[in-house]
Amino acid sequence: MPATDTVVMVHPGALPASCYAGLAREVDLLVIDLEQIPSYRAMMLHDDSRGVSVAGLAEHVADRIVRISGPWLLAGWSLGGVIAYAATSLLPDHRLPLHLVALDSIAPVPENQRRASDFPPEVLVTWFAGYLAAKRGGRLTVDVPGGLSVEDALAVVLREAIRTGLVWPDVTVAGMRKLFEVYLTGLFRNVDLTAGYEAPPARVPMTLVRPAVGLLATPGALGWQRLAPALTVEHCPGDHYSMVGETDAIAGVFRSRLAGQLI
Amino acid sequence: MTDRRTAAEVQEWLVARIAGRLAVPPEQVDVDQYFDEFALDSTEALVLAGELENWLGLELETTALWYHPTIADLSAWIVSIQERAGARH
Repeated sequence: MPATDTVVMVHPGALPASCYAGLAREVDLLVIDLEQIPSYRAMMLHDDSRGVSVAGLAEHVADRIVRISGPWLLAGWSLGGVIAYAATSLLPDHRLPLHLVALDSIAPVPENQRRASDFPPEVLVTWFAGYLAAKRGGRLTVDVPGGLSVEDALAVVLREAIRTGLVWPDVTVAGMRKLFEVYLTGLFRNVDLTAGYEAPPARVPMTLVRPAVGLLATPGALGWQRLAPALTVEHCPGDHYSMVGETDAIAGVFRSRLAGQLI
Repeated sequence: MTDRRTAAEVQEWLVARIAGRLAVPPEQVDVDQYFDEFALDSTEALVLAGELENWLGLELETTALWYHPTIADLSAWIVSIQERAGARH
Protein backbone atom coordinates (compact mmCIF):
# COMPACT_ATOMS: atom_id res chain seq x y z
CA MET A 1 0.00 0.00 0.00
CA PRO A 2 1.58 3.38 -0.94
CA ALA A 3 2.79 5.33 2.06
CA THR A 4 2.31 8.94 1.06
CA ASP A 5 0.08 11.31 -0.86
CA THR A 6 -2.20 8.67 -2.21
CA VAL A 7 -5.44 9.50 -3.94
CA VAL A 8 -8.06 6.79 -3.54
CA MET A 9 -10.71 6.93 -6.25
CA VAL A 10 -14.01 5.11 -5.80
CA HIS A 11 -15.28 4.03 -9.20
CA PRO A 12 -18.94 3.05 -9.68
CA GLY A 13 -18.64 1.36 -13.07
CA ALA A 14 -20.53 2.58 -16.17
CA LEU A 15 -17.14 3.46 -17.66
CA PRO A 16 -14.12 1.14 -17.49
CA ALA A 17 -11.76 1.82 -14.59
CA SER A 18 -9.08 2.52 -17.21
CA CYS A 19 -10.75 5.92 -17.70
CA TYR A 20 -8.48 7.16 -14.90
CA ALA A 21 -5.29 6.26 -16.79
CA GLY A 22 -4.46 9.92 -17.36
CA LEU A 23 -4.96 10.79 -13.70
CA ALA A 24 -2.84 7.81 -12.65
CA ARG A 25 0.07 9.34 -14.54
CA GLU A 26 -0.28 12.56 -12.56
CA VAL A 27 -0.96 11.36 -9.01
CA ASP A 28 -0.43 8.22 -6.96
CA LEU A 29 -3.85 6.77 -7.65
CA LEU A 30 -5.53 3.74 -6.12
CA VAL A 31 -8.82 2.94 -7.88
CA ILE A 32 -11.43 0.95 -5.95
CA ASP A 33 -13.70 -0.45 -8.64
CA LEU A 34 -17.10 -1.26 -7.15
CA GLU A 35 -17.79 -3.59 -10.09
CA GLN A 36 -15.31 -5.99 -8.52
CA ILE A 37 -17.82 -6.56 -5.67
CA PRO A 38 -19.91 -9.58 -6.75
CA SER A 39 -23.26 -8.24 -5.47
CA TYR A 40 -22.69 -4.87 -7.15
CA ARG A 41 -21.60 -6.56 -10.36
CA ALA A 42 -24.74 -8.70 -10.24
CA MET A 43 -26.83 -5.57 -9.74
CA MET A 44 -25.28 -3.98 -12.83
CA LEU A 45 -25.86 -7.12 -14.86
CA HIS A 46 -29.33 -8.17 -13.75
CA ASP A 47 -30.76 -4.92 -12.44
CA ASP A 48 -31.28 -6.66 -9.14
CA SER A 49 -30.21 -4.45 -6.25
CA ARG A 50 -31.12 -6.89 -3.49
CA GLY A 51 -28.28 -7.05 -0.97
CA VAL A 52 -26.66 -3.88 -2.31
CA SER A 53 -26.66 -0.71 -0.25
CA VAL A 54 -24.65 2.47 0.09
CA ALA A 55 -23.63 1.36 3.59
CA GLY A 56 -22.50 -2.06 2.37
CA LEU A 57 -20.47 -0.60 -0.49
CA ALA A 58 -18.97 1.95 1.90
CA GLU A 59 -17.86 -0.87 4.19
CA HIS A 60 -16.07 -2.49 1.28
CA VAL A 61 -14.29 0.79 0.53
CA ALA A 62 -13.43 1.39 4.19
CA ASP A 63 -11.92 -2.10 4.44
CA ARG A 64 -9.71 -1.35 1.45
CA ILE A 65 -8.47 2.02 2.68
CA VAL A 66 -8.05 1.46 6.38
CA ARG A 67 -4.46 0.32 5.84
CA ILE A 68 -3.32 3.47 4.07
CA SER A 69 -0.76 5.49 5.96
CA GLY A 70 0.47 9.01 5.40
CA PRO A 71 -1.55 11.90 4.01
CA TRP A 72 -4.16 10.78 1.54
CA LEU A 73 -7.16 12.03 -0.28
CA LEU A 74 -10.43 10.26 -0.99
CA ALA A 75 -12.29 10.88 -4.23
CA GLY A 76 -15.19 9.43 -6.16
CA TRP A 77 -16.86 10.04 -9.47
CA SER A 78 -20.67 10.08 -9.72
CA LEU A 79 -22.13 7.46 -7.34
CA GLY A 80 -18.52 6.77 -6.33
CA GLY A 81 -18.47 10.15 -4.57
CA VAL A 82 -21.50 9.19 -2.49
CA ILE A 83 -19.93 5.85 -1.55
CA ALA A 84 -16.66 7.60 -0.70
CA TYR A 85 -18.58 10.05 1.50
CA ALA A 86 -20.33 7.18 3.27
CA ALA A 87 -16.98 5.43 3.80
CA THR A 88 -15.64 8.41 5.75
CA SER A 89 -18.32 7.81 8.38
CA LEU A 90 -16.85 4.35 9.00
CA LEU A 91 -13.19 5.31 9.43
CA PRO A 92 -11.57 6.04 12.79
CA ASP A 93 -10.51 9.68 13.26
CA HIS A 94 -6.81 8.98 12.79
CA ARG A 95 -7.48 7.23 9.47
CA LEU A 96 -9.57 9.93 7.85
CA PRO A 97 -8.44 11.44 4.53
CA LEU A 98 -7.25 15.03 4.36
CA HIS A 99 -10.09 15.85 2.03
CA LEU A 100 -12.93 14.33 0.05
CA VAL A 101 -13.30 15.25 -3.63
CA ALA A 102 -16.57 14.34 -5.36
CA LEU A 103 -16.67 14.49 -9.16
CA ASP A 104 -20.18 15.54 -10.22
CA SER A 105 -21.68 13.38 -7.47
CA ILE A 106 -25.24 14.24 -6.53
CA ALA A 107 -25.68 14.54 -2.78
CA PRO A 108 -27.82 11.82 -1.15
CA VAL A 109 -30.46 14.22 0.11
CA PRO A 110 -34.23 13.83 -0.36
CA GLU A 111 -34.64 16.68 -2.86
CA ASN A 112 -32.29 14.89 -5.25
CA GLN A 113 -34.47 11.80 -5.54
CA ARG A 114 -35.54 12.04 -9.17
CA ARG A 115 -37.01 9.66 -11.68
CA ALA A 116 -36.41 9.40 -15.41
CA SER A 117 -39.91 10.77 -15.98
CA ASP A 118 -38.81 14.03 -14.30
CA PHE A 119 -36.64 14.82 -17.32
CA PRO A 120 -37.60 15.49 -20.96
CA PRO A 121 -36.19 13.25 -23.72
CA GLU A 122 -33.65 15.84 -24.89
CA VAL A 123 -32.04 15.91 -21.44
CA LEU A 124 -31.92 12.13 -21.01
CA VAL A 125 -30.64 11.60 -24.54
CA THR A 126 -27.99 14.31 -24.13
CA TRP A 127 -26.72 12.50 -21.00
CA PHE A 128 -26.72 9.30 -23.01
CA ALA A 129 -24.69 10.93 -25.78
CA GLY A 130 -22.01 11.85 -23.24
CA TYR A 131 -22.02 8.31 -21.88
CA LEU A 132 -21.80 6.79 -25.36
CA ALA A 133 -18.89 9.01 -26.31
CA ALA A 134 -16.95 8.24 -23.14
CA LYS A 135 -17.71 4.54 -23.42
CA ARG A 136 -16.45 4.49 -27.01
CA GLY A 137 -13.41 6.59 -26.18
CA GLY A 138 -14.39 9.60 -28.26
CA ARG A 139 -16.18 12.91 -28.18
CA LEU A 140 -19.70 13.61 -29.28
CA THR A 141 -21.00 17.14 -29.45
CA VAL A 142 -24.66 16.94 -30.19
CA ASP A 143 -27.46 19.45 -29.76
CA VAL A 144 -30.65 17.48 -29.16
CA PRO A 145 -33.62 19.77 -29.88
CA GLY A 146 -36.47 19.93 -27.41
CA GLY A 147 -39.87 18.53 -28.27
CA LEU A 148 -38.60 15.36 -29.95
CA SER A 149 -39.69 11.86 -29.00
CA VAL A 150 -37.03 9.61 -27.46
CA GLU A 151 -36.84 7.73 -30.76
CA ASP A 152 -36.22 10.91 -32.78
CA ALA A 153 -33.77 12.27 -30.20
CA LEU A 154 -31.83 9.00 -30.35
CA ALA A 155 -31.79 9.27 -34.14
CA VAL A 156 -30.07 12.67 -33.80
CA VAL A 157 -27.40 11.14 -31.55
CA LEU A 158 -27.03 8.11 -33.79
CA ARG A 159 -26.43 10.22 -36.90
CA GLU A 160 -23.65 12.11 -35.16
CA ALA A 161 -22.19 8.94 -33.61
CA ILE A 162 -21.99 7.33 -37.05
CA ARG A 163 -20.57 10.48 -38.60
CA THR A 164 -17.80 10.62 -36.02
CA GLY A 165 -17.09 6.89 -36.23
CA LEU A 166 -18.15 6.13 -32.65
CA VAL A 167 -20.46 3.35 -33.81
CA TRP A 168 -20.67 1.17 -36.90
CA PRO A 169 -22.31 2.88 -39.88
CA ASP A 170 -25.14 0.32 -40.04
CA VAL A 171 -26.26 0.68 -36.41
CA THR A 172 -29.98 1.39 -36.21
CA VAL A 173 -32.12 3.34 -33.79
CA ALA A 174 -33.42 0.01 -32.43
CA GLY A 175 -29.90 -0.91 -31.35
CA MET A 176 -29.30 2.52 -29.92
CA ARG A 177 -32.59 2.35 -28.03
CA LYS A 178 -31.58 -0.86 -26.23
CA LEU A 179 -28.31 0.72 -25.15
CA PHE A 180 -30.18 3.85 -24.02
CA GLU A 181 -32.69 1.84 -21.98
CA VAL A 182 -29.99 -0.14 -20.21
CA TYR A 183 -28.07 3.09 -19.56
CA LEU A 184 -31.11 4.80 -18.10
CA THR A 185 -32.04 1.82 -15.93
CA GLY A 186 -28.55 1.79 -14.46
CA LEU A 187 -28.47 5.51 -13.87
CA PHE A 188 -31.75 5.67 -12.00
CA ARG A 189 -31.07 2.43 -10.15
CA ASN A 190 -28.06 4.24 -8.68
CA VAL A 191 -30.31 7.16 -7.73
CA ASP A 192 -32.66 4.70 -6.00
CA LEU A 193 -29.72 3.11 -4.22
CA THR A 194 -28.91 6.40 -2.49
CA ALA A 195 -32.56 6.87 -1.43
CA GLY A 196 -32.20 4.39 1.40
CA TYR A 197 -29.08 6.05 2.75
CA GLU A 198 -29.34 8.61 5.53
CA ALA A 199 -26.20 10.65 5.21
CA PRO A 200 -24.66 11.93 8.43
CA PRO A 201 -22.83 15.30 8.49
CA ALA A 202 -19.44 15.39 6.76
CA ARG A 203 -16.38 14.47 8.82
CA VAL A 204 -13.78 15.90 6.44
CA PRO A 205 -13.50 19.02 4.27
CA MET A 206 -15.03 18.44 0.90
CA THR A 207 -14.73 19.67 -2.68
CA LEU A 208 -17.32 19.12 -5.37
CA VAL A 209 -15.99 19.34 -8.93
CA ARG A 210 -18.70 20.18 -11.44
CA PRO A 211 -18.16 19.80 -15.18
CA ALA A 212 -19.29 22.42 -17.68
CA VAL A 213 -22.23 20.17 -18.57
CA GLY A 214 -23.22 18.07 -15.57
CA LEU A 215 -26.17 15.77 -15.16
CA LEU A 216 -28.08 18.42 -13.23
CA ALA A 217 -28.07 22.01 -14.40
CA THR A 218 -29.02 23.34 -10.96
CA PRO A 219 -26.54 25.93 -9.69
CA GLY A 220 -24.59 25.47 -6.48
CA ALA A 221 -23.39 22.34 -4.81
CA LEU A 222 -25.89 19.62 -5.84
CA GLY A 223 -27.18 19.37 -2.26
CA TRP A 224 -23.78 18.77 -0.61
CA GLN A 225 -23.99 22.12 1.20
CA ARG A 226 -26.59 20.52 3.48
CA LEU A 227 -24.09 17.88 4.59
CA ALA A 228 -20.71 19.57 4.37
CA PRO A 229 -20.38 23.10 5.74
CA ALA A 230 -16.67 23.12 4.77
CA LEU A 231 -17.43 22.72 1.09
CA THR A 232 -15.77 24.18 -1.98
CA VAL A 233 -17.10 23.92 -5.51
CA GLU A 234 -14.66 23.80 -8.43
CA HIS A 235 -15.36 23.60 -12.14
CA CYS A 236 -13.75 21.68 -14.98
CA PRO A 237 -14.38 21.26 -18.72
CA GLY A 238 -16.41 18.43 -20.17
CA ASP A 239 -19.59 16.64 -19.24
CA HIS A 240 -20.46 14.15 -16.52
CA TYR A 241 -18.60 11.39 -18.35
CA SER A 242 -15.76 13.11 -20.16
CA MET A 243 -14.73 14.99 -17.00
CA VAL A 244 -12.79 11.96 -15.75
CA GLY A 245 -10.46 12.51 -18.70
CA GLU A 246 -9.89 16.18 -17.80
CA THR A 247 -6.63 15.21 -16.20
CA ASP A 248 -5.05 18.64 -15.73
CA ALA A 249 -8.07 20.11 -13.98
CA ILE A 250 -8.82 17.13 -11.76
CA ALA A 251 -5.20 16.40 -10.87
CA GLY A 252 -4.81 20.10 -10.04
CA VAL A 253 -7.65 19.88 -7.53
CA PHE A 254 -6.18 16.72 -6.01
CA ARG A 255 -2.72 18.24 -5.63
CA SER A 256 -4.01 21.45 -4.07
CA ARG A 257 -6.16 19.53 -1.56
CA LEU A 258 -3.27 17.25 -0.67
CA ALA A 259 -1.20 20.36 -0.08
CA GLY A 260 -3.97 21.72 2.12
CA GLN A 261 -4.74 24.55 -0.24
CA LEU A 262 -7.83 25.79 -1.93
CA ILE A 263 -7.37 26.91 -5.53
CA MET B 1 -47.96 -11.80 -32.37
CA THR B 2 -44.86 -12.05 -34.58
CA ASP B 3 -43.70 -14.83 -36.87
CA ARG B 4 -41.61 -17.46 -35.16
CA ARG B 5 -38.08 -17.74 -36.47
CA THR B 6 -36.17 -20.96 -36.83
CA ALA B 7 -32.74 -21.41 -35.31
CA ALA B 8 -31.30 -21.36 -38.84
CA GLU B 9 -32.96 -18.03 -39.60
CA VAL B 10 -31.72 -16.47 -36.37
CA GLN B 11 -28.22 -17.81 -37.03
CA GLU B 12 -28.30 -16.42 -40.55
CA TRP B 13 -29.39 -13.00 -39.29
CA LEU B 14 -26.68 -12.91 -36.62
CA VAL B 15 -23.98 -14.16 -38.99
CA ALA B 16 -24.89 -11.53 -41.59
CA ARG B 17 -24.89 -8.77 -38.97
CA ILE B 18 -21.57 -9.75 -37.44
CA ALA B 19 -19.94 -10.44 -40.80
CA GLY B 20 -20.98 -6.97 -41.95
CA ARG B 21 -19.53 -5.34 -38.89
CA LEU B 22 -16.30 -7.30 -39.03
CA ALA B 23 -16.11 -6.75 -42.80
CA VAL B 24 -15.58 -10.46 -43.46
CA PRO B 25 -17.54 -12.95 -45.62
CA PRO B 26 -20.39 -14.67 -43.69
CA GLU B 27 -18.72 -18.06 -44.10
CA GLN B 28 -15.85 -16.82 -41.95
CA VAL B 29 -18.15 -16.25 -38.97
CA ASP B 30 -18.00 -19.29 -36.69
CA VAL B 31 -21.40 -19.80 -35.01
CA ASP B 32 -19.70 -21.57 -32.10
CA GLN B 33 -17.28 -18.74 -31.40
CA TYR B 34 -17.89 -16.59 -28.32
CA PHE B 35 -19.29 -13.13 -29.03
CA ASP B 36 -16.44 -11.48 -27.14
CA GLU B 37 -13.97 -13.26 -29.42
CA PHE B 38 -15.52 -11.31 -32.30
CA ALA B 39 -14.23 -8.23 -30.46
CA LEU B 40 -17.78 -7.19 -29.58
CA ASP B 41 -17.62 -5.06 -26.48
CA SER B 42 -20.56 -4.64 -24.08
CA THR B 43 -21.85 -1.59 -25.95
CA GLU B 44 -21.80 -3.36 -29.29
CA ALA B 45 -23.40 -6.46 -27.79
CA LEU B 46 -26.30 -4.40 -26.44
CA VAL B 47 -26.74 -2.63 -29.78
CA LEU B 48 -26.84 -6.02 -31.49
CA ALA B 49 -29.36 -7.28 -28.91
CA GLY B 50 -31.59 -4.26 -29.59
CA GLU B 51 -31.49 -4.84 -33.32
CA LEU B 52 -32.20 -8.52 -32.84
CA GLU B 53 -35.19 -7.64 -30.62
CA ASN B 54 -36.49 -5.35 -33.32
CA TRP B 55 -36.17 -8.05 -35.96
CA LEU B 56 -37.72 -10.74 -33.77
CA GLY B 57 -40.44 -8.51 -32.36
CA LEU B 58 -39.78 -9.68 -28.82
CA GLU B 59 -37.84 -8.32 -25.90
CA LEU B 60 -34.62 -10.03 -24.85
CA GLU B 61 -33.09 -9.87 -21.41
CA THR B 62 -30.05 -7.61 -21.34
CA THR B 63 -27.99 -10.61 -20.26
CA ALA B 64 -29.05 -12.76 -23.23
CA LEU B 65 -25.69 -12.52 -24.99
CA TRP B 66 -23.94 -13.09 -21.67
CA TYR B 67 -25.70 -16.34 -20.85
CA HIS B 68 -25.90 -17.52 -24.46
CA PRO B 69 -22.50 -16.43 -25.65
CA THR B 70 -22.36 -17.93 -29.15
CA ILE B 71 -24.50 -17.47 -32.25
CA ALA B 72 -25.55 -21.13 -32.13
CA ASP B 73 -26.40 -21.03 -28.43
CA LEU B 74 -28.29 -17.73 -28.66
CA SER B 75 -30.25 -18.89 -31.71
CA ALA B 76 -31.34 -22.11 -29.99
CA TRP B 77 -32.36 -20.18 -26.88
CA ILE B 78 -34.38 -17.68 -28.93
CA VAL B 79 -36.27 -20.53 -30.58
CA SER B 80 -37.03 -21.98 -27.15
CA ILE B 81 -38.39 -18.69 -25.77
CA GLN B 82 -40.48 -18.19 -28.92
CA GLU B 83 -41.94 -21.65 -28.34
CA ARG B 84 -42.67 -20.87 -24.69
CA ALA B 85 -44.25 -17.56 -25.64
CA GLY B 86 -46.30 -19.30 -28.33
CA ALA B 87 -47.46 -21.98 -25.91
CA ARG B 88 -48.88 -19.30 -23.61
CA HIS B 89 -51.09 -17.88 -26.37
